[in-house]
This record gives sequence, structure tokens and C-alpha cells, in this order.
Amino acid sequence: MSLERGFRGYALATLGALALFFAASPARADTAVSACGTLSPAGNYFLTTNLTATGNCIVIGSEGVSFDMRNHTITGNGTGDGISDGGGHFESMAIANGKIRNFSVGIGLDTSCCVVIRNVDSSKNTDTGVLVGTCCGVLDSVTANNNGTVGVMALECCYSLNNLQVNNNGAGGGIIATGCCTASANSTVSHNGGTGVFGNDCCNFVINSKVQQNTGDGVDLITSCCNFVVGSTVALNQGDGVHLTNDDNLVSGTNASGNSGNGIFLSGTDNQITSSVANGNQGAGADVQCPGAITGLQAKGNAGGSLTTSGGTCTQLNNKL
Amino acid sequence: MLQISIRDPRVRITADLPRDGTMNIEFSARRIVAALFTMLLIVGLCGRAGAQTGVSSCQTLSAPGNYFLTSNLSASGDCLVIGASNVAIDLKGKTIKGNGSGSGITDGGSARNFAIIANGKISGFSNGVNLEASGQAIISNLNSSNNAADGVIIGDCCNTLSAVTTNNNGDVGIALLDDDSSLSKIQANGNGNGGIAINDCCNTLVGSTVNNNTGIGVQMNHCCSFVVASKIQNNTGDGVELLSEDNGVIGSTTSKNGGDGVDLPTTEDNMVVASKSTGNAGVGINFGAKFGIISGVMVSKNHSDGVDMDCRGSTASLKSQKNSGTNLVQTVIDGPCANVNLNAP
Repeated sequence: MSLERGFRGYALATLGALALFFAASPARADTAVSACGTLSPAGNYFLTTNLTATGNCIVIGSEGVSFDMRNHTITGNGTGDGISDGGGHFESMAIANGKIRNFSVGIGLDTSCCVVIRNVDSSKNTDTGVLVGTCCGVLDSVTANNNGTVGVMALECCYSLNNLQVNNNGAGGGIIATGCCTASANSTVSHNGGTGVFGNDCCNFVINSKVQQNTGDGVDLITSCCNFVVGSTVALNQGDGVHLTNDDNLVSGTNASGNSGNGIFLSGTDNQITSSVANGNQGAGADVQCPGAITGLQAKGNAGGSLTTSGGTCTQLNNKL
Repeated sequence: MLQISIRDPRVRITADLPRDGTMNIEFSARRIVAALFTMLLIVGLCGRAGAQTGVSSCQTLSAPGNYFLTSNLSASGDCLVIGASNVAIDLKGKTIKGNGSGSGITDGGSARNFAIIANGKISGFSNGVNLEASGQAIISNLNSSNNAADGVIIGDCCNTLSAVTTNNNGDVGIALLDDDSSLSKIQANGNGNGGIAINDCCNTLVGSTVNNNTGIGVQMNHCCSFVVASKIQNNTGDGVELLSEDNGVIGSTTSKNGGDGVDLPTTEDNMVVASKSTGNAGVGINFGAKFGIISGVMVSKNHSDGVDMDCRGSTASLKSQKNSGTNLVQTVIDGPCANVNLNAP
């Protein structure tokens, strides 16, 4: 194949390359943001100053947007969203390093997926601290305290929630995960109205976390099977400490003491408790529907008895009741 | 009112007596004797129903109940065969040793669910614990090492393994063939064909160490499993290999493995959070499909690329440096990746 390029051909090629360069540059450049507005197209944006808003402030207007707040604060008037996806279904997004205050919803990504939110404090909003709406996502080192209704709400399956502080939120509770397969790890969820950690589908996991002094159950994982609480402290809640339903629930290495209801309540069948403590609860230490297996359970000083079983037979070994 | 339950292995007695001091009770000698006789009869019956049965030799444990070892045991072939569901075995610190064949504790090929096995050592069998036809088991504070095949193998779902050591077995340290198991405080090191292998979804591995295995350190074959606060190092294959979607690695270290540190090779929506992946012979973190998410991750000194991911995907605070290949490869499949605080020169 023989190619001949005249001046026109080179010129066109050069123009084309320049056009591509300038079209691509805005997507790749770090863009300063000094006012509320829409972040589009894809690219890296960073905040240069604190912002105040009436209604929504930052609207993510494209997938592939990253937004670094650089330790600034976005403050609202009690309405709108501090950061919103504006109803767009965007499938990559990264938000980091700042504070959001006094919106209705601090971060409201109702219709976007595959989001990472890191090192963000979204507190004192009138409704919800952080709302993520579509599978999957990561919240890492996120604080959501003193929001009017809920601290963190994950509306679909499969989130990694790590190192969260979710405290003193309203009657909606601390962490609400309405889909399956969300892991809440290394987190503190305390003094919330309602349930500390609520899951509404199968295979939700609470791992190495402290869930204390919530006005409802500490951990309430219901509707479907196979929820785990591992290595956690679930204490002094006004409902049950651990309340798991619908079969195959596993509690291991967990302290569920001083709750106003049962320390550990497991309904359905095929439940297990291993190496856990349930002392000083106002209900039973553990109320377990069998068949199942229980070993290494210490349950003392519970007003409703140490261990109540129903249904079939639970294998028991080395429990201190 | 005196309530006595014989349903459980242990006799449970709860007393609900009136506490005002006005009740006038007169016991005749005959009534006292009758009451004592009745109580002794009931206790005797309960003792059999919820027996703590001493075991001093290899045998079949044929009835539901609690058994405990009174001495170390040695066997040619299987040692303890669980012959019923709802059997608990307390090894009481004793050791069961085999001759390289059979299983230390086995279900004998029949479903014996809700077993508890605790507090001892098993070594020198083909499989240390073989519950391949069973599930819903708890294994706690058990060392099942130096067996010719698997340290622990369980066939059905929904098991708890806590404080279990499975080192230097010929095949896999822990092999779980079904879904929904909770593993914590596991030591699975130096095994011949992988540390931990789980064939189905929805498992957690927490606070565990999986080192120096031939093959893959931790392999989970389906969705929705999480590896948390664990160290997976010096395995000859991948450190962690999660073969489906919606899996997470949180707060864990994968280093110096012979393959990738974290390999998520096939499907979407996997997450790596607050973890380190260093010095692996392959890629530090390898996403084989889009929608991967990374947060707070250090990836360095891997002998291939630091992070390979398809876009769309998202990263926050990814530090990927000093890898032999490219520190960050982001291949656009159908849209852009979003990166904040990226440090991957």
C-alpha cells in the first residue's frame, strides 16, 4: 500500500491531532472549583474555597469525575444535596477530603454506581449524611454524625464500608443497607435513633465494629439469610444487641452485652454462635432458633435467662451460662 | 415452679419460686423422700440424654450429644466417625494422630450437620477433619496440621471456623465446598495446594494469616466474599484470588506472593480498601473487569504492574510506586475511570 500525503493531508492530520488534544485536555486537567455548580466533563476537580449554598451545591454531571475538597467545607441551608449526581446514572466517581454540613442530604448519589467516597465528614445535615444508590461502592474513613434521619444509606447491594464513624443520627438509624452483601468493618455506630446497623437482604456482614447505645437494635439484619457479626461489640442498645433472622446466621467473637432486649436473637434455622459474650441484657442472653450450634458462649446476668432455644436441637459445647 | 428441660445436652433448671415469706410449707419425711427420689430419677435420665461421654479410643460417635477425649488417640485410617447430627467433640487439649490415611474426624460420608469440634490437635491423617457430606459445623480452637491431604474439608454450607490452624498439609489448608462460612483467626500456612479455598459465595475471612503455601493463598470462587484484616504472604501463586463479582479486600496485606497480590480476574464490581500489596511477582492488584474500586491502598515493588484495572472504575488515595511494570494501568473499556489523590507516577 502506498500512501501519499500532500500539504493538505498533513494539515488536516495536524488539525485533527490538535482538536483531539484540546478536547481531551479538559477531561484530564485538574479543574479548580470556587462556586457551586455542575462538574462536567470527566476529569479531576478540586475545591479552592469553602462554599455555601441554598439547595444543591455540587452536581456531578458526568461519569469519570473526581472531586477533591481539599479540606474545605460545603455548607447548605438545610435543603438540597451538598454533592449530588443530579439523577444521572454515572458509573465511576471519586469524592474525597472535606466536610459537608446542613444540607438535606450531604452526599446524595441516588442513581450512580461504582463510587468511592474517602475521608469525608458529612454531618449535621437535616436528613441523611451519605446516600449511595446503586451497586457497588466504597465508603472509607467517612464520618456521618448528627444527621436528622440516617447517617449512611446504601440502597443496593455490595458495598465496602470501612472505618466509618456514624453516631448520633436521627430516628432512621446509623447505617442502612437495603441490599445484600455489604460489609461494615472497623466502624463505630453509636447513639443513633433507631437501629445501629440495619440490613435488609442476605449476606450482610458486620466485622470488627462497635455498635453501641442506639435506641433500637444494635445490629438488625433481616429478610434473608446468611448474615454474620464477627469480632464486634454490640452493647447497651435499647433493642436487641444482635437481631438476625431467616436462617444461617453466624455470630462469632462478639460481645453483645447490656442491651435492653436480647443480647443475641437468631431466628430461622441453622444459626451459630461461637466464642461470644452476652451478659447483662434485659432479655435473654441469647435467644436462638434451632437446629444450630452454640459454643463458647458466656451468658450471665441476663434478665430473660442465659440461653433460650426453640425449634430443633442446637449442639452446645463449653458454654458458660 | 420447678422446670426441668432434658431437650438440651445439659440439664437446665430454672426456679421460679414465690419470694414472699408468708408461704407455709410442710414437708413430711415421706414427701421429701419422694421428691428426692423423683429428682434423682430425672437427673439420671437427663444425664443420659445430655451425656458428656468420655472417649478413650477411636470409634463411631453414634448418638447426638457431647463427647470429650480422655487421652491422646492414634489411628490407622479414620479415628472418630461422627454418626449423628448434633455431635460435639471437645478434644480437651489432646491430640489425634494418624498414619497418613483416613480422617482424624469424619462424617463417614453421611450428612452429620451441626457438629462442633474444638480444643485439640489432629495430625498425620489424609484429611484432618473431613465433613465433606455435612455442613453447619463449628470448628474452634483446633490445630489440624501435617495431614497428607486437607487440614479441614467441609462440603455443605454455613460453617464457623474460629481460631483454627491448618499448617503444612499436603493439599489445601481449609477447603470449603459450599457458601456462607465465617472464618476468623485462621492460620493456614505451608500447605501443599493452597491455604484456603472456598467454592461458593458469601464468606468472610477475618484476622487471619495465610503464608508460605504452595499455590494460591486465599481463593474464593463466587461472589460477595470479604477478606478483612488478614495477611496473605509468600504463597507461590496469587495471594488472594476472588473469581467473581462483588468481593472485597479490606485492611489486608498481600505481599511477596508468586502470582498477583490480589487477583480479581473475571468479573466486575470488586473492591480493595485500606490494604497493601507489595513485592508480589505478578501484578499488585489486578482487576480483570471494569467497575473496580480502590480506596486507601498502597501498591509497591511488585514485579509486574502495580494496578491493572479496566475503566469504568474509581480510585481514591491510591499510591502505586516502584513497581517493575507500570504503576497504574487503566484501560478504557466503555468509559473513564475516576481518580482522586492518585499517586502513581
